[in-house]
Amino acid sequence: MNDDWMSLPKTKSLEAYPLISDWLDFSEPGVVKARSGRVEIGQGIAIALRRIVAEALSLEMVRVHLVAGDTRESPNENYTAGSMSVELGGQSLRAAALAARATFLLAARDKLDAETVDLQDGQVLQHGEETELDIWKLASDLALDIPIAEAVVSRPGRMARIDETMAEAGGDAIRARLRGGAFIHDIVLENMLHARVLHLPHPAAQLVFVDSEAVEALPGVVMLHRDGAFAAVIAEEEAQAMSAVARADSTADWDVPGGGIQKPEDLLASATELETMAEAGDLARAGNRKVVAEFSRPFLAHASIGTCCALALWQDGTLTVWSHAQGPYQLRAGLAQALNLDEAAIDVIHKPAAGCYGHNGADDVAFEVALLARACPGRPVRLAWRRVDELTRGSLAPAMTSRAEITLSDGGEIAAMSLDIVSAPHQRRPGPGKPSFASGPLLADPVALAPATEPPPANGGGADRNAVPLYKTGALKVARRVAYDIPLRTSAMRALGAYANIAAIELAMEAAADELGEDPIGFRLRHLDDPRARRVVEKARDMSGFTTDTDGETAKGLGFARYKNKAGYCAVVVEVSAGESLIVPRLWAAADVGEVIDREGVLGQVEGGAIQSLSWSLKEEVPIIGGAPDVPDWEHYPILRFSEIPVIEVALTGDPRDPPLGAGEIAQGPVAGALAAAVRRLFGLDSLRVPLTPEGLAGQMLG
Amino acid sequence: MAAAKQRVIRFTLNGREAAIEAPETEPLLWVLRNRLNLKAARFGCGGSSCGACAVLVDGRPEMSCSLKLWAVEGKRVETAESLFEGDAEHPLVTAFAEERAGQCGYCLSGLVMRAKALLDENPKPTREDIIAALDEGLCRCGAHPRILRAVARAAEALK
Repeated sequence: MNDDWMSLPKTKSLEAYPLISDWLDFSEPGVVKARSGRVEIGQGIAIALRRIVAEALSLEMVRVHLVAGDTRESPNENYTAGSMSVELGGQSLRAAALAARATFLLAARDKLDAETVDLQDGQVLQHGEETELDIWKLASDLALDIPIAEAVVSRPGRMARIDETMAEAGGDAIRARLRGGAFIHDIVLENMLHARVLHLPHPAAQLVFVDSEAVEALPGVVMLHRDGAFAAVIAEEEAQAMSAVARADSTADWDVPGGGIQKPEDLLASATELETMAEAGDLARAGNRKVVAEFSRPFLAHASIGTCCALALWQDGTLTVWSHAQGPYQLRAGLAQALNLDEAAIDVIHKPAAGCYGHNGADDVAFEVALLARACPGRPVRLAWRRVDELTRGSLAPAMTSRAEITLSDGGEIAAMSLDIVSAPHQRRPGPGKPSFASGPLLADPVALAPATEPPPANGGGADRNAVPLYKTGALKVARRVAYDIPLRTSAMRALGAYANIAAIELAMEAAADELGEDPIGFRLRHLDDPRARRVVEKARDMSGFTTDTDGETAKGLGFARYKNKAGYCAVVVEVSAGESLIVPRLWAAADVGEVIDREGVLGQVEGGAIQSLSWSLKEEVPIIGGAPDVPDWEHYPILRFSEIPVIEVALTGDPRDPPLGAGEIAQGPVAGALAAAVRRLFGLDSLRVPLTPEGLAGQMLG
Repeated sequence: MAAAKQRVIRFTLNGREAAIEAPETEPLLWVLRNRLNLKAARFGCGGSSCGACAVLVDGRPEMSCSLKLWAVEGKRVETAESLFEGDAEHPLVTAFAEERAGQCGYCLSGLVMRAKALLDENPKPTREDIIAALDEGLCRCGAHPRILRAVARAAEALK
């Protein structure tokens, strides 16, 4: 055994769960059960977490079973959000597994009276030969209630076949999804009922009438459950629930507030309180050579391909909920308060659903199915939303506008930068003291939503996320106005405010370089000190053969940011081609996320983040009519298709000695910035409003 | 409202004879998922817009969410489960696994069946052929480039 001593990672989770036994269980021979509060939401975290444990204990990955987000036994690691799962959840498990390794080695040396022992796939080796000991035998004699922080840990050697093992684990995850049965939607419980909620035409609609008698006379219908404006059908079979809810919808008479189309800027007009989020230096003394850019986005839908789903069983005063929520413990706290139950009477068990890109309707559907389970005690109830619910019932991603102003010095430096942000709020999740569920306010005995908030700056902020650029700026000011009281429920979606802020900053950087007659990438590099930042910008430039030349129809643009100024670095170049509509045939990205745990996973996150950001930017908008989102189906909410995606090339430039960082949210802002830069080069627009549909772009060019 | 007529509908499912007694207007998707416990075809929209429920009927992709059971009487239905046979798997499965072609994976079983219909008919597809074959299927995670590569890789393997 080598004696390459190492210090263990420290995380917030380890403070709350300091013992090896909080994280790892060796009670089943041949298997290591790893507990995590970080859950699979389509980002592939389960694979990265299993690798971390396998490597620390020199185990084959198939032996590592992950129990994530189960309030019966997993640690509470808050929400799986903010691209922190590898950084926090992974490092916590790594520390626990390394401490377990050290404990096993110490015990084995004692038992074998040997100087050097090692581990290989659970077996204890002495002089490279197997002994009678393995980690499961050792664990049965040891109390693993040992503080992780007290372990003296040596660095495990590199595992043979780890890359092949990772490829197999990644491939098997794909196989499981092709084969069916991998999702919460696939759970079948004995004696299970199926539910569907009636379409809610407006978040504040009143249900005047629904023909319960006719609906309950339909085949298989157990009941039409109605509580205020919350109404759902419950049936023996799913097909029966679908037929019944269609009938119920057709007989329902709703009282909805009227009103025409409301533009995002009108809805954000209530944002009057100015909050200064960052301030350095004196902007007034920076001079008068200014450029200004503005980037706006409308409300967006999460638009997962699968609809939100949850199951619940209410029995003998206890509630069990199966949910794909990002924060199982937070969901439990919210449910306990909303349902007036003791938290100890509720178990929440996480099961993956289709892709989660932020605070979607997972919590909402879980609350709704709990209400229905309470109405049918003793029988499990499964509720899946329909497409219209998926697009309109959950939270929307906030509309926002970010305006960036750069003041240039006589010497061509950035003397000052200021950002002015107007946004809908980015945080409305349930949690302790916050029983915030879509249907709460609809009930006869309403459960009000907790007020909307913004994530604190320590968590990267919300509307102001990435409003402070990594560029050297001289004086700096970031101010925001948030429409906390907007009559729509908005909450976090991937990258939060970083998407629009980075786009606005990069658009202003283009304008500033133009003002100086300077190459836009050279101008950026001149204002970047961080070598990791410079490397991704240079790499993206070189990969793409960047040029400012344009034939009037195609142009390239670059966007860059370090997510939250403390996570992954990403630079993106897009090539934009303007024909009948704007298309992006090619995209290059360079990213630095430090140590890469799962290379294909990271590449996939960058590619996927880039495509989703292009989809938002080119196609997506939730129109608001009379205070309600008007997107009943995919025809009203088109997203990017196979025929519209660019050819993408991604390079990773990080150093494996740097700590691992998440990759799921690093590309969205840089892609918007790159797109804005390229569109500016083509059309000279310093103010952009996405989506850049043919109509949208034409309107902006006419002014 | 009269209950839909319940009768026995016979068709070929993944190479075997199936006889299902169910309301004849029940969408095939619910028959597969809930009567036969075949969970690969998935509900995404219920309106033939997303392709998460796509299966092959007589070799052609169909949206099973909108296809009534009676419409497959006497026909040949294939779902993604048919790509697995014991330890063996269709080259498309291997290619999707090797390319890590998917993130959440909800859309994959519909897309892979579209790809199978393409490769059954056109063993040497161009990139444009593959795009055209998959274009009615939606993916939200942005796994498109990997999925396109996987289909091309499977075509190579099938040569």
